Amino acid sequence: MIDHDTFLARVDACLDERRDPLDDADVVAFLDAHPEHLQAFAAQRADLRALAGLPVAADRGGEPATARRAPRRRRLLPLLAATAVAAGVAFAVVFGDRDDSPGVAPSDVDPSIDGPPPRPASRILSASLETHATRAYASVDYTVFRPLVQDTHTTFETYELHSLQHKP
Amino acid sequence: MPTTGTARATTIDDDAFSAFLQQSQPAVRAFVRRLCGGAHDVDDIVQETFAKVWRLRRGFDPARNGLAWLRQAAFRSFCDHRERARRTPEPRPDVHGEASPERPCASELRDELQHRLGALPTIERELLLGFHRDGLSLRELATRHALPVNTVKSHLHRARRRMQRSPS
Repeated sequence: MIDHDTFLARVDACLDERRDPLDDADVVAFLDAHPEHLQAFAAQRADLRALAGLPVAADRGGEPATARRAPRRRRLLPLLAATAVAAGVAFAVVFGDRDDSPGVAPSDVDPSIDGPPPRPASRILSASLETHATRAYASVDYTVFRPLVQDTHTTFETYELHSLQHKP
Repeated sequence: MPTTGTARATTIDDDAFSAFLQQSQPAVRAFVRRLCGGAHDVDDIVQETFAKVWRLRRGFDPARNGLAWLRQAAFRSFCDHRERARRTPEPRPDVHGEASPERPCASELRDELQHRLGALPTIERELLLGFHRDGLSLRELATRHALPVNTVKSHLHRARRRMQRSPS
């Protein structure tokens, strides 16, 4: 007669092979001899049957949350604690040479004054926003370096995002 | 009069045994339903179980856990029923194995299942759903999550343990 640990292992092995554990004579014999485990076995059976009937949306989307990140996560695992891996907002900043740059309006320049042309101000030509979903296995913190643009209404800052992997 | 727990009496008369069976019927029915899945064959198995234990009532030891004894009898009836069903030419819906999205999942069980799924670590939840709901193989899951197959198995086995309900 198998013991309880072996019983659990046999049940798992059957399920992994998509076989009914009750096709395993040792599993049946164990349950018959240990009716105190029948309830848990039946409950697991019902749960797994119900899992098969769950809609895809039940886990908040058909694509696993870890599917896209798992390869990177594993590769970067040793580096994660020390390396900034992502930035939430990426800016393309171009130092333009056009006169209509913000901060140096054409009307501000006196054409009668000789000398080098005024240094153009920075301009943000594009920005993209990337959403970082909350992960149970990781946490993030941010380091803000300097504002790219700052006025009374808007501030754009550069920063690094540090992702820290938690051990399961 | 026997209860679903341990009784102290050493003998039991027919009336008391009948009352005990009546009292235990919902629990036995629920147990058989979990084994079978849905209402399919539940009535037959429960009826068969009670007919069997009635014949064996003289051998019933009230000092034992009466409900565990009934579950054991129901489990044997279920195995017999399953064996007979296997010999029938018409294929019958079975429990474990292939995922079948069209399989009904009672809303209350689904809610409870989702609650327990939500308590799992992300990787375990995704592997469990990937395997039992989506029908992905261990190898496919390993590729998808960039994990060795044995690690997938370990997560899966742990997830099944964690999903176990407390017996009710």
